[in-house]
Amino acid sequence: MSVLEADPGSYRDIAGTVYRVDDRILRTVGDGAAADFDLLRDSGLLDDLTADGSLVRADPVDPADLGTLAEGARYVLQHPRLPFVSYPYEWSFEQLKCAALHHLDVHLSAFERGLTLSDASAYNVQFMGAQPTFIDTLSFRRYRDGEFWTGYRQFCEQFLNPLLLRALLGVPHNDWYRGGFEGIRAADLRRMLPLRRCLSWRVLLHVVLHAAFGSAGFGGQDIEGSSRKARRLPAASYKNMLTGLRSWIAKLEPADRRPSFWRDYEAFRTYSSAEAEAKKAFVSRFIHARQPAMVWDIGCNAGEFSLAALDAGAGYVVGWDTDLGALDMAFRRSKERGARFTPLYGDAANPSPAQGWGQAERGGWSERGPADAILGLAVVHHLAIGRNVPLSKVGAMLTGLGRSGVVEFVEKDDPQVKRMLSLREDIFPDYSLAAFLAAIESHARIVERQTLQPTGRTLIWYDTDS
Amino acid sequence: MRLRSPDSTGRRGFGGIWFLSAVVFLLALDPGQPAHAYLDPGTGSILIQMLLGGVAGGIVIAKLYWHRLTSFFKRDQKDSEPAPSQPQE
Repeated sequence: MSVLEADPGSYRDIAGTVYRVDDRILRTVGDGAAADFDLLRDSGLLDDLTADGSLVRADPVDPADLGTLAEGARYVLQHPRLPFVSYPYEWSFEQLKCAALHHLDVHLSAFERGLTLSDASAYNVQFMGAQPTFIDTLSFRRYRDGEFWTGYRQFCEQFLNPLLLRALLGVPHNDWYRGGFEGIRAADLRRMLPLRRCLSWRVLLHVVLHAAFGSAGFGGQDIEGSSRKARRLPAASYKNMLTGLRSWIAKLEPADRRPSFWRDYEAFRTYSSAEAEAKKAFVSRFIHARQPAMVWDIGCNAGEFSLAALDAGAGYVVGWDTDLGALDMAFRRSKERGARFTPLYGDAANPSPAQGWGQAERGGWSERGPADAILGLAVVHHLAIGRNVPLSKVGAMLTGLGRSGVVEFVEKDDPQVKRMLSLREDIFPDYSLAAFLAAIESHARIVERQTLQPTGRTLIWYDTDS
Repeated sequence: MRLRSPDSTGRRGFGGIWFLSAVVFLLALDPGQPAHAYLDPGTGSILIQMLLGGVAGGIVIAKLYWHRLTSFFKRDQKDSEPAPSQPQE
């Protein structure tokens, strides 16, 4: 046991703690949580949910594996390591909706067996490809008749309100969620909703009334003083809340119907399908040679080359893009194929930061990388010309994100670059293939180069020494 | 006249006048300032669930608002009374 580290995000719940021990993920189950874990296991729910991947596996191991840290723990469980941990602010609308429905489905399954969930954190849902999985074994607790749904507010803030922001107002949740970290408060959403959006019974209840009650200044003492009969939520009403939210969320769609350029890019791109095939062949040769376990596809669009990388033998692909329409399409594609591909919202010029408590609770790109391989196809000009990032910095960034990679360079006379420069002054005299090759070579070794015809775009395969 | 919520998900019909009254009442509840740290952050969600839990919970909430209303007027009355004169030293 060489590395032993409590997960920086595992501190809120005293029921147990998650540790990373080398490559293993171990979780302690304290005395106070043991009875609930016993119920989860003995009810058969643990086996049923893990069998289809709805819940992450949890296998009991020898507590000695955790040394003195296992003191006071009734059990030590081992979880499989997830290929990649992503966060709700990196999910597209489709993904957040999928995670919300998954959370409710898990909760409803638990309810059928006399259990409930102690919280409703969106961070407890992770994706294996496009398949959601619930990762917090200790969220399950015995249901006590008449108890309130303690995670209701958290569910609204972390799932429902961010979805409503897009479904009712056409505003994507991602940037706000990343800043707010715990989701979107009902009071904030309420202030933005026009009257006509409030004329729905569900919006009135879950947003308007929730905001009003939450901000009215009533406290626990006001509730404690009420009768026992008033202080209970009958089991049928509890279940109705879960099923009612489920059927509502299942029907939510983004209010904005903006055409998405990058979603439709494969049909309208400025280069031919023969060129796309040549590009795929180059990527496939690279992937086949390097056999990377983890690939990051920077600027993945709707996932065309991510899926090609998987076909060529990549273990897992995380795709990053800022076009939410393309990401929704990529997510649907991944789901249809059952692919080990997770598309995520992320901007190479401003990647997700490390944040939360001690700036360590949720990792940034640096903490979750580097990948074994990078695909940077048609992305360099967007950074160098679209965002004014010097080519030397673009080269350093790409070679730093992965141990090897394929990047594409697009010359200034390419129609795509011409369009980018059509309304602005060309202040990029140093933007050239030679300068970009030099930028790559100062951090990595160039293995192969290919010029694509007829556009003259160049593909560059590099390896770093790490 | 029956008013229905504009989206297809709101199936519950209300008598128009009652629904409108409910909307006006609910919208008049000011979301107010962000809840302060000393307040139970889950109070709003518990009150919603008491309301969904049945009549008894609804009565508690009505009482809370009624109490707030009456104490507001009582405070007003108190404020308008002349302050007792302070003994001079």
